Amino acid sequence: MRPLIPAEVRARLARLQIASRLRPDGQGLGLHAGRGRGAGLEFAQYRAYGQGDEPRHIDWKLYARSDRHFVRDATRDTPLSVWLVIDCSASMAQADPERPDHARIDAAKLLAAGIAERAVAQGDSVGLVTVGGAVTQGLPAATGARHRDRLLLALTALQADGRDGARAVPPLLSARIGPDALVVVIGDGLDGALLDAGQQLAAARRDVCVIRLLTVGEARFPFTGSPRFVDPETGRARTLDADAARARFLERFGADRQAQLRQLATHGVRAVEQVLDEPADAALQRLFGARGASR
Amino acid sequence: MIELARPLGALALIALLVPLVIHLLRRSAAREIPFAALDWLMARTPPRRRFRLDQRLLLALRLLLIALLAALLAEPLWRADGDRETARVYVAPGIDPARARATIGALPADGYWLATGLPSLAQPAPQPESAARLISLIRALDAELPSTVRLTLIVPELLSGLDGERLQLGRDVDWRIVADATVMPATPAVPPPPLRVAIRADGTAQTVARALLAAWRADGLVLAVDEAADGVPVPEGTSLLIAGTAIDTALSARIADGLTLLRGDAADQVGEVLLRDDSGQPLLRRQRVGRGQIITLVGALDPAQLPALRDPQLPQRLLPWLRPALPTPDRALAASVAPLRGAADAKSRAVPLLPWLIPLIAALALLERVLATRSAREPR
Repeated sequence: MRPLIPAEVRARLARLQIASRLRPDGQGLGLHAGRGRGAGLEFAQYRAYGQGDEPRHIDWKLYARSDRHFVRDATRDTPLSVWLVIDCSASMAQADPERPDHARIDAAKLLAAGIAERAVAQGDSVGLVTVGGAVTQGLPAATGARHRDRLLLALTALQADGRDGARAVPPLLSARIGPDALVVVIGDGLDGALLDAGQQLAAARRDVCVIRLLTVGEARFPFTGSPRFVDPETGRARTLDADAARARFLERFGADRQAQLRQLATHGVRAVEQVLDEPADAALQRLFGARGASR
Repeated sequence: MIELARPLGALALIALLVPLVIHLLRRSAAREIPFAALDWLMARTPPRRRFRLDQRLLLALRLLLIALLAALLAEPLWRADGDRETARVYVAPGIDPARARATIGALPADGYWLATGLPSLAQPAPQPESAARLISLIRALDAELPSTVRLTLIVPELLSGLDGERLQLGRDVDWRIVADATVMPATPAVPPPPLRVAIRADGTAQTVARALLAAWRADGLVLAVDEAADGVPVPEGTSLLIAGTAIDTALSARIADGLTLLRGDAADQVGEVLLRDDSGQPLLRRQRVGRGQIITLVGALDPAQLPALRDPQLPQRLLPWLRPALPTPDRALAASVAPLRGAADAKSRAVPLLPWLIPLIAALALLERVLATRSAREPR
């Protein structure tokens, strides 16, 4: 089987750190600064010695200066729980005529695989939920290489086959995804229900990122002549003069995209777009790379 | 200069419409694009129904291929430009050259004698020849001269020595007749050969035979008579035997070889009836034996017993049945045997272009296939 992630993308991913803007409050040892105080490398605060504290945690040099017992607290580094939410409606199967074997769902699989790869390498747990498809699939968040392989296998088998009835998002998305988790929603942004669910999750103390995948046709509308445009979900068709429709479509669609991004930002959701002809990890670099990283 | 042997084949050019239609139909059928953001597409820009043709090179190749196929049906011929339209006049020998020149008048043409070697009209007139020879020469001229040459043939009023076949040529010729030419040799140059008769009879039969011969001689028939006693063999070359005897084996063989036997036999009931007497009874019967025949007068050769023998018209009535076949008529007025336009056109000098056309078509068909399959592999 062909590896899901090409070699050069994997090389770029190695410098990437999947991070949440929230401080996770999990158990165990991780790479992320947690909310809990305790044993760790990074100094957090001094606090007065209380009953139950181990004497070896007392800062004796400070006792010498102040004659009081103070305990040195450090930030506890905790693991992160990463959830991948992938839109599997039929519009995700849309590809550009110039590159029919690279649909939106393929780009989504690649992004999800990259995130999973990095998260597992960081010791974080990864879970998967697909929405909008004919079948709702999911894997609970877990860590480890075996879980990563299970997840990659599930990703490979994903199909964007949801028809118009399947736009509904599983209502208990927040029940599956625990608090303080990093939620990465990968979709085409055409389903308002999914974005609403993302906003609700963000309001319920999850760090939500949205990656919106655009085809070249949607981003630049390079069609000429009078082709027949067919909606893959509803089957509706519209034949029109592409040259005359281009400017108006780009203006309207672009305005709607910007409005959507602004609305997501006001709800505390980080949203980026990626066009299908961009590098496969472009959205990840924007979200988690050196420039777009927000700690 | 290219000519078409079958100009109706050019109607196949109508088939040029087929690839045009195919290219128009295929274009509109192939463009379907999945597009989920359909709601943002304004329906106010209706599709343009332009007749835009894709893959122009392939289309041009297909049109050329069909045009060449139509040309293949039309059978193009290459004719060298040197064959300008010229006129030639051929005069049958025997016609006075001065009269011939007067007939052709202002024709700007070369004149030739229609005789062996086709000598020029300035040379002395050759000996007159029979019409069969003339017609043979005309056929040869038609086959050898290019079709651009206009032929004028000057012939005498009466042609003899013709055969039954009407002359057919691959071109229209100017068939001119000179009225009172003293052309054709008198047909029977020699007197007709005598009718050779043998008589093997005696008594009244001999008398009757002699009387018949005398009557025929009186009509001008030339006879060579061999009269002998019964049983003497009939000499070679005899065409009519008048005998009263029975037919033996040797005589049967001679009859089968072409001899005509005239005899009297009251008991003869076989053979077709040629003549009947006044009361309607059979008078003359004929029985064919091989190439010869047995002519039987029903009754003894005796005027006393056969009253018909006393009829003074009988020798004349008998004669047509007894003489060998006359020569077939071979004379006709020249006006009635003017050449017809035959099916096969004169195109001797034209070179058919098919040997070049067929490989060209094959190569173009191959190229078309290569182009068509290559463009099918490319994403549209």
